[in-house]
Amino acid sequence: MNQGPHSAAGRPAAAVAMTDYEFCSQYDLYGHMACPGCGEKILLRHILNVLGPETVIVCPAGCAAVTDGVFPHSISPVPFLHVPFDATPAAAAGVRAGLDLSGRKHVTVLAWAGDGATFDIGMGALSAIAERNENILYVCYDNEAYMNTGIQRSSATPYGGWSTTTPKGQLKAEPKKNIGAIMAAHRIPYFASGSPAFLDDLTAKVAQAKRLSGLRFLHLLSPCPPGWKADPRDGITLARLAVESRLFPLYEIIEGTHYRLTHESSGAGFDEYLQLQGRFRYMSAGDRRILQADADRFYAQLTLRHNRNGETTVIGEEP
Amino acid sequence: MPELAVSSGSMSWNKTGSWRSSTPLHIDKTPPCNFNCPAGENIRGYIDLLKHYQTAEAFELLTSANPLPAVCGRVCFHPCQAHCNRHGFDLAIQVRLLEKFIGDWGLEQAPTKPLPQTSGRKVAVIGAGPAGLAAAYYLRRKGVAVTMYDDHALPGGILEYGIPAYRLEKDVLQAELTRVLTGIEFHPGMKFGRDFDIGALVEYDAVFLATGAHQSKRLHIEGENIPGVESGLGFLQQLNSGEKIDVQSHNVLVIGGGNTACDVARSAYRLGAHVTLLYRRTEREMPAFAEEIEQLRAEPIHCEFLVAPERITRAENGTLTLTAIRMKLGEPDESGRARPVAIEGSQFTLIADRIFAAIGEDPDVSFFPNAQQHDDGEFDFSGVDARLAGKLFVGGDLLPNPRTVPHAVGSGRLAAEKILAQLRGEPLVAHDCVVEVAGPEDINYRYFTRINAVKWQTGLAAGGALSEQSAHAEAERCFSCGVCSKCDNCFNFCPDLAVIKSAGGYQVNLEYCKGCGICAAECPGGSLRMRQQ
Repeated sequence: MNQGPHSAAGRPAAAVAMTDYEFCSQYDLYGHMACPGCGEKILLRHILNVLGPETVIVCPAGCAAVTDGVFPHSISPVPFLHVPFDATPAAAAGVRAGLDLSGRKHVTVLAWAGDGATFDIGMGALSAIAERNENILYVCYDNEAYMNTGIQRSSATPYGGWSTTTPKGQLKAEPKKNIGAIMAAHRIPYFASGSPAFLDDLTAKVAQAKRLSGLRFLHLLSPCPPGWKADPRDGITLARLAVESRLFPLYEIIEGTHYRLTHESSGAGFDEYLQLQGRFRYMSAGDRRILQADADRFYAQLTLRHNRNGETTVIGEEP
Repeated sequence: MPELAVSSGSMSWNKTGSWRSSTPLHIDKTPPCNFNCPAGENIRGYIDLLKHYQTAEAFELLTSANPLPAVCGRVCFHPCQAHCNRHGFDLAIQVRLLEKFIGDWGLEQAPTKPLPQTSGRKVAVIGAGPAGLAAAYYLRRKGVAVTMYDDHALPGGILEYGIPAYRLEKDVLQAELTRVLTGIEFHPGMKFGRDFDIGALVEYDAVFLATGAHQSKRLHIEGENIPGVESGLGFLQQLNSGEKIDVQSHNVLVIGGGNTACDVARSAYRLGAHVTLLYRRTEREMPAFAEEIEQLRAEPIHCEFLVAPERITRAENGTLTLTAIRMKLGEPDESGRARPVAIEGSQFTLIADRIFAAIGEDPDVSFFPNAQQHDDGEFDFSGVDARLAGKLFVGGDLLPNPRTVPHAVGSGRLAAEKILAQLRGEPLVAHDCVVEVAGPEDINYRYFTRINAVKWQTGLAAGGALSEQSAHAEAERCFSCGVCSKCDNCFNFCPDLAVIKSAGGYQVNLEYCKGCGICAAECPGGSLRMRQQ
């Protein structure tokens, strides 16, 4: 555990007015071990900027845990608790209980887990804290495979994607798990998806999540150049194309029922998104069509729900 | 061991910069608008100021290169727009309207700044056209006393006597000239070589000569000197001097395809004449500015292309008969345009009351009988008189430049810089000659949404002038090609926090930059690039 300079455990609650980038810029966040172009580190610094120093991070095995630093060193400006792979939700609930008992209800508990620890390994415990509506902000940085251990497929890997366990000839035959629907089924107060290419949208969602209490879940796309077999410089471009091509639409679910699209995806850039990544190189034209049709269908569903909610901004036309 | 292992140190010892194989560099390129401005305006710069509603600062920046923004906002052909990287994407930034907006703001609201005391240095400027005005303006603002001579009664040169009032309102011109001429001694009606000569110039530290091109080119055909056949520029001068010209219901022929020909044709049409314009090539080869041609074609003026005049005769009742011959386009000539070739036996005649020849103008340098002219059209005045040796500077249409107002303004400002350098006894510091111009390949188009060009243009032009709000909206569309617009993308998207905000923009912390290249890829205007190490 890193006893950060603004340790939540050691200081009374202070009203810290956060302006743009103030928080992260004043700390020595240099020297982390993430690969060039890592999306997770872009996401984390912007999230921490919104959450501020009164935060405790609970992090399972994964890229975030490894790249944070080499023991006894860490880049984290706030306490950063390393926990077993499957135990993020349980440990976060424990930290929450401890903070609450010691009168620090205002401190945000941030569960910061990859797609492996969220979609697969920690799924049971995640369902438990969702059902109990624990006061935790759970954020999944989704790089769509077990990147840290050598690019093994997870249930977040997209249909037709390559990984070392879904090699050429045996590409992933199952579609990506719909984590939004799972969280919505638990009727948690707030679910939202986000992308580092849309920072205003992302920070607004983090701020909204911070305002609410109960279990809040953010599902963020985290570009991974080595795992996606892409040029590191294209990370943000890919994060944008994923949204525009409707493979990763930006939306919110409030109280498990109220769906809201926060960005109208143009539908363009699907082919470019696949072309820029080696992990989609082996996909057949038929597989591409299936993937695109699936994305379009999901987006149409979101549109329908968005418009039925009586949102003032009507997105697209009802299918 | 403690109950719980705790990290206490930072990772800053881990200098991840050593992982890097290429380095991001903030190197500004030249925006195409700036590069193509004959007057040398920092167009991107003042557009950026308009983005922030800093109209006063924009006026300051614009007039640091061009003292005539209200004029140029109306009469310039704006090559900046033709080279705008937004042109082809949706619609070029309407620099013309922005320049006019800033110029008009200046006429109404610019604070009068006190001029510096004159230092005792004196410069004579001969010719009060755009070149002379620009030179005088910048010299005076550096404390040089300027005496200006012009053979006309009013200053402005081509602006006053050549450009019709429907393109440049007289009150606008007058207001702008009043500002420019503040603190300058102006002697109207003084023609060099007639009313004064070199002897009067000896007392000056330098002389700037910009007498322009007023001598209409001859048609070199039979009958071009008979009454009723006149020069187009002369017609415009008469008109602009307020003379009454009666061409109501007359048949008027205009020969030529340049800006003067267009102005003559459109002015005559406004006086009620039936106008036919004859040009020996096609519309595509017309040397007039695209905008002028477009406006000409929008008016009920008949154009005969691929036609050359051969002979003019005059009947007893004064009716003129022009015999013309049809042409076809042949091989390209030295100007790159197709050479017109006569079609044998295709002669035909046209009847007219007045014929205006507007096939170009030449400078009149008869005041220096021994002036040499090089093949490229450049005059050599170095040997004209020992008393002027090393003191004579020329500009405007006496230079072999395209004959446009912004070219003249640019030459005037450059002459002022040269004169100032000479007065200080310093060599003129050469501007960077090698520039890299930001092209479409430098722009990250993902950051810009296409607008409906027609709809946008109609909305902007409502009322003919921009409001502060619409100027801001138009400026917001600027890509800021090749120049950092401080959008924060490089700072925001750096996974390693290696981009640091500094007062002048951004710096890269090379100790930690891993060289991923996201900052360069996400730079909207292309001022960041990666260099291999």
